[in-house]
Amino acid sequence: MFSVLFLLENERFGSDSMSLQDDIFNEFIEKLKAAQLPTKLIESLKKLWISGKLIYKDEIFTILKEACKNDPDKGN
Amino acid sequence: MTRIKAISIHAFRGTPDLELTFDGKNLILRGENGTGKSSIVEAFEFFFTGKLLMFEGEGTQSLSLNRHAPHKNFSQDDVSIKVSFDPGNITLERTFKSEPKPPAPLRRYFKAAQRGTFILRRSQILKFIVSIPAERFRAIGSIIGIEQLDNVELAMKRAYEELEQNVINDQKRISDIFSKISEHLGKNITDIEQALAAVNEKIREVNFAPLKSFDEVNKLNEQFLKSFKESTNIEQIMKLNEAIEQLEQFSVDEEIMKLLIDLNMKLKPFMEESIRRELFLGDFLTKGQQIVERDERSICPLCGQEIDRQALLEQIKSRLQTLSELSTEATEVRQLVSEIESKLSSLEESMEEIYKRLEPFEQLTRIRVKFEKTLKVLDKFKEKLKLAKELRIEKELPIDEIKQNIMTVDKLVKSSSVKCKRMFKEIGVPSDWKRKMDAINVATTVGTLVTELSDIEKSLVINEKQRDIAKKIYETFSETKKAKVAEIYESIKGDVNTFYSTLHPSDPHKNIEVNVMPTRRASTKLTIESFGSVEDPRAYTSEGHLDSLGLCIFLAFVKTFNKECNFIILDDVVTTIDSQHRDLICKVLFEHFKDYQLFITTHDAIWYEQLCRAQQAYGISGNCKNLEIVRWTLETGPIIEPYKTRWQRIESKINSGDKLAAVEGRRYLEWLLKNICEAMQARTVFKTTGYTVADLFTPAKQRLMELIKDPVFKQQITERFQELESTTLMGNLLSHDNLEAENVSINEVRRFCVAIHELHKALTCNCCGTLLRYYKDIKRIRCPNGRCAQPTEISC
Repeated sequence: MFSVLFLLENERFGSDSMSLQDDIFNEFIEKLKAAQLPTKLIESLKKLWISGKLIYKDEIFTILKEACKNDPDKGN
Repeated sequence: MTRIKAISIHAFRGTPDLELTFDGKNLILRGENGTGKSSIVEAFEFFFTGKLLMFEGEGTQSLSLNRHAPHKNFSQDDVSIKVSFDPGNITLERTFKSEPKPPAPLRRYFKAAQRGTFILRRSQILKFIVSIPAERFRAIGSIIGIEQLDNVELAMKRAYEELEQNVINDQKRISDIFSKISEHLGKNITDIEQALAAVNEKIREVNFAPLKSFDEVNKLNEQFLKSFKESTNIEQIMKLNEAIEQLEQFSVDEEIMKLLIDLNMKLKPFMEESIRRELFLGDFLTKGQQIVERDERSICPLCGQEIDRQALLEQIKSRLQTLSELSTEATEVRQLVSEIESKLSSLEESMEEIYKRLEPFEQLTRIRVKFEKTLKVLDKFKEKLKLAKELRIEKELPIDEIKQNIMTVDKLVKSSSVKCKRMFKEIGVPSDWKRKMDAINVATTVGTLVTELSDIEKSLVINEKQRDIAKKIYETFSETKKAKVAEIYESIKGDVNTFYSTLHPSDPHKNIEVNVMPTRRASTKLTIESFGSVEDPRAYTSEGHLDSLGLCIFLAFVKTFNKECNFIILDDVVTTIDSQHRDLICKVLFEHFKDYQLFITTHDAIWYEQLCRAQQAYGISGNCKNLEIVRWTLETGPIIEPYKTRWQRIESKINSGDKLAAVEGRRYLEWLLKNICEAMQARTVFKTTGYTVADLFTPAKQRLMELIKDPVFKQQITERFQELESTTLMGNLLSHDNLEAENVSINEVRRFCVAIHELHKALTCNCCGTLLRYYKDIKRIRCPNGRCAQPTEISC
């Protein structure tokens, strides 16, 4: 368990071993839906999560820009 | 339920060849240090994870899996670890070139084991307890499988912070523009309507019709030019007037210097060696990333091994992301640099504007050249700022140079203004022209500023919208994660406390809490209630307590989160825990982890024997294998034999005429006397170093004589001690603590060892063989094994 203390990062997890992570992410998505965030943005977040790219800030900027461009009346 | 049947290790670490059969049972393996126990544990680690933890992390630069995992006499290609599983008798193999491909029934077990979190080593326990909350969170995050979420959260936080900074910059720019407009119009202006009204006031004074909007400024300008078309030099006059206006407007934002000084202060920690090392690693990875991206072959540029190029690139990218995970200070530096960049850009824009306005006037060429030079200096400085933003800076920013240049520009602007005004006067412009030109200039300048303002306001609306969404995303994600982790902590709290209170039933330390720190992004706080107050466990607990606490937390997490993989390895974890608590660890393991397959290694003979005895006490002997590494050489690897009790080992040595049995006998006696003293609550002299036979013999004997009232039993114990004392070897031990086994016969050795064994037998339970213990409250010596069917009991 504590092995991670010796690793700068843990690369041992494949996408299919992330059930708890997926649970937390899905709960987060549900909360965003409840907060009526733009649907397109939520879909883009899901895609980034699945592709593992949600860890990149620039990818988040891209979808935020897209969302504000396409759905200007929502999201505030 | 999946069980490991056997492991076959070839050419790996200290093991040239080994077949170790588990038969689906728990395996307790004893071996002295350096006899290959850890090689077997590492073989499991490599088999499931493809890695070895000991070759990763800080201080392992000179170690590599490829070079150091193969046995010294073999190459990487020879390495093979095969593990067989039941049910189904499935055997999987890992080599350096191929990884195990588990069939469907084993996939979940395998995926859980791939994390490597089923192994606990003692070094890791203490490191966990004493680590900072963020590291502890990562450690726990690893076992519950959420460390990916941490990176996601960080990316969201940084996106939000950057957008927030954009909003702040836009707001600042808007405020600056209003200040400029106010300055031009000579009154405080807070919105565009006010600006239009003030401009109209000025143009009415020179008899022009008021503007409906700033879009009409150009029309007004044309009207003015038409009315003066008879003048040949009107264009030059206008340009000169504009230049004067621009020069008059120019001012240096004094805050820039303050911010630069502040930035240099904040950058200092990032210039330290350790931070630079980290940054160097970042550079190295960036370079590596470029090379791998450029070179389309799937070959490692360093070692020439075949690689999964895409996976490597992803890993480098992710690693770079982690490296750039910087503290609040780093965020502050980035924000400060953004602010300075924005101010310098604004200064440059003003300078460029003046530069353009001065172009038609040859008399001002020298000033323009100086402007050009300063603009270049500022450009270079902005490059340094970029490096500062990335925290890739080795020395302080040259702010004195910048200060000098800015002051020079300020002086130049002032002198240019004077010069232009003189030129204007020399042309001899009529006074009403001048007034009209001034009014139009004000209208034009304010109009330009208003246009700029509209653009920034549009940008602000977008940035605010993005910032608000980013904030919502980040906060929602962070709250969801924290809540879930808190829920998880809550769910394991019961187990942690159950295990801990089993180990320390009458302990003043209780109510262990593992909590998410509410004010921090990803931190875990560990507390324990000691003597009525809630403290960090290190405050009042011993090293042994900390070890057992770490063990309890590990077991609680494994129980909850490694359900799919029921295999647990405890690699030499109980070194600092005393004998009584070790018995209780057996209780935790054998009562709460019955469905697990345990692989316990130890160098400690006493703990090993406790584990062996506990199997009988808990009725799980049939489910355990007890093995010992009897010797190890580089050529043979560990030689493993079935467990023999201490007495069986001594007996076997005596029977083969090996007088070193006496040395083993002495250790046996030391162990026995220590345990008698502890179990019977004998008064011994306090010592900080280890106790010898001479220290323990008399207190143990005296205490037993005090306690035992039964005459038959008392006689029996007295005789045992007398027999022991009468042996030559015992005499040696008591007189000068030196066991001269070489000078005695094998018969004397036998007599000495048998006497110890007889004393031991006399003090053990007739039913289960556990050493008897004195219970003060009931005034009895009795068997301490709560599961013993017929516990021996003697009145005192």
